[in-house]
Amino acid sequence: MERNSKILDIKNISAFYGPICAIRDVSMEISNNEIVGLVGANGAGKSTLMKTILGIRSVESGTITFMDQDITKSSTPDIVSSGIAYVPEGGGVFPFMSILENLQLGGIHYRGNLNKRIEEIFDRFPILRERKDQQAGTLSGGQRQIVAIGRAIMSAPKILMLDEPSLGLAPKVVDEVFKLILELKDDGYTIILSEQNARKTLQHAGRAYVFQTGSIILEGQSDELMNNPVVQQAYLGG
Amino acid sequence: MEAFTSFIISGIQLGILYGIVTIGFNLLILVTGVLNFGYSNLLVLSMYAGWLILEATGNVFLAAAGTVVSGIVINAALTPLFLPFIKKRAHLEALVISIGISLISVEIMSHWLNLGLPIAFPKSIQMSDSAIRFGLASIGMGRIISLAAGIILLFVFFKFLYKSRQGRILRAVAQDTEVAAMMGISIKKTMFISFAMGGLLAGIVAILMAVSIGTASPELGDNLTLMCLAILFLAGIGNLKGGLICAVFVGVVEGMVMGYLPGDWTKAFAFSVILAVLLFKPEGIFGSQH
Repeated sequence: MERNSKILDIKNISAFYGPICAIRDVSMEISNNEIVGLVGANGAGKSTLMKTILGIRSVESGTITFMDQDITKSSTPDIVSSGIAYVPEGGGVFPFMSILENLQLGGIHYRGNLNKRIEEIFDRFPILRERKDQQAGTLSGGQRQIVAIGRAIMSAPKILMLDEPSLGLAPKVVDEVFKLILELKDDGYTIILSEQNARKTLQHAGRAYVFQTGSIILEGQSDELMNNPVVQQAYLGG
Repeated sequence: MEAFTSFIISGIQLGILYGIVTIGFNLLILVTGVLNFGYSNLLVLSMYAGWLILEATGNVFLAAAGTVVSGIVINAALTPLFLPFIKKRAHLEALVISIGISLISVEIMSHWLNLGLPIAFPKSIQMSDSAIRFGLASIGMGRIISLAAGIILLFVFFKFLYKSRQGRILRAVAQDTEVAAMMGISIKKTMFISFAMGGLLAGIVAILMAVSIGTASPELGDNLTLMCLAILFLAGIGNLKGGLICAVFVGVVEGMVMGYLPGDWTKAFAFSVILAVLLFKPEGIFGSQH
């Protein structure tokens, strides 16, 4: 696929979270192999947008097109199988399962040889091989995040969506996670990154969308946004 | 001493059956959140199905197959009734549905099947002629077969749950349904599979009960429900292996009481033990775990 070709096209979608309109008339274009940041406060709709793309929340209006396929009404298993993977907030590892089992579950839609794919993930993250039989619930926050990312890329997705990957991690570990995100881009993944940590996000993402109460209020190249007075005032601490 | 050995073996055999039924309850609680109150009643309904087939055809293998198939089909067919409540996590409403199913199935057995009289399987399938004797005591071959088959079933079930792809999916949904859905696991399909798995276990236990006990009545399911729910709370809700250990313990206690005390004090005795334990350890002996 062309490096800059459009891979995900979101047109005017709205979605509800219970009775509340959680995202309103959101449009977004994602190109192949870029890192796109979603910036905004807690509850601004970043997470809901990702869950809507994934088919967990249903779309009220608008369309979502992924690699020229309309996935607006597709089920989550079909969407995951078509190449979109999600890392939930906090990682969402299965705590009573081993690292190996967590990876196996990430690969339920992988079409190739599962054991070979697991070896590839172990080569990518050697620490997971060392601890493959350890229960995921006993790992540190940073390690859980790595298991969750490894599990998500088990299905060899085109798009990797990360929901608040730095939440609750020590500053040093946050740096490691963002370094890893850059490496994943080099591996060829397209990354959508939702973060409350606006500064870090704008430093690592090529482009970003700024969310406020369910709508996109600003979008653009990260360096432009970083110099935007509104962004500086509201998200970068003045 | 011979009698003691025979009571122990009978107790373990009964306990293994309690254990499998308790696992059926637990599996559904863990995966779907539903306490299926009618589970044992439907198990007995499967015994009736097997008995009817046996009466009609005289073919033991056909009857056995019919028992298992009816267990799976009945449980899977009732899944859609529970799905809306599972989705809303409305566990009390789901419990009411399951109580309704329990009552309806008991009434069906009481009014439509065998004029409401207890059913009796032919002595031949219990193989009581070829009993193992210890001095004055003896154990029917049916009980021995039931014990062996129950242990094999448990072994295969745990292997399935902990080593197979589908078993992993069931455990993932049990641990975190929301994350499982985000991994692309079909939750609805997994719900059907967990009900059908419960039905499979119930169907096999129905055969083992026919072989070891030889009779069934509409009330049998209620007794089984009481014992298994008590075991479930004794061990800790959702603890599969703990439930199994407690079930064997309760089975042995029941076997001993049945053997040594005059009159049927089994339930009173078993429940006294359970109450005493819960007084000191309200979370159950083994606690909840996945």
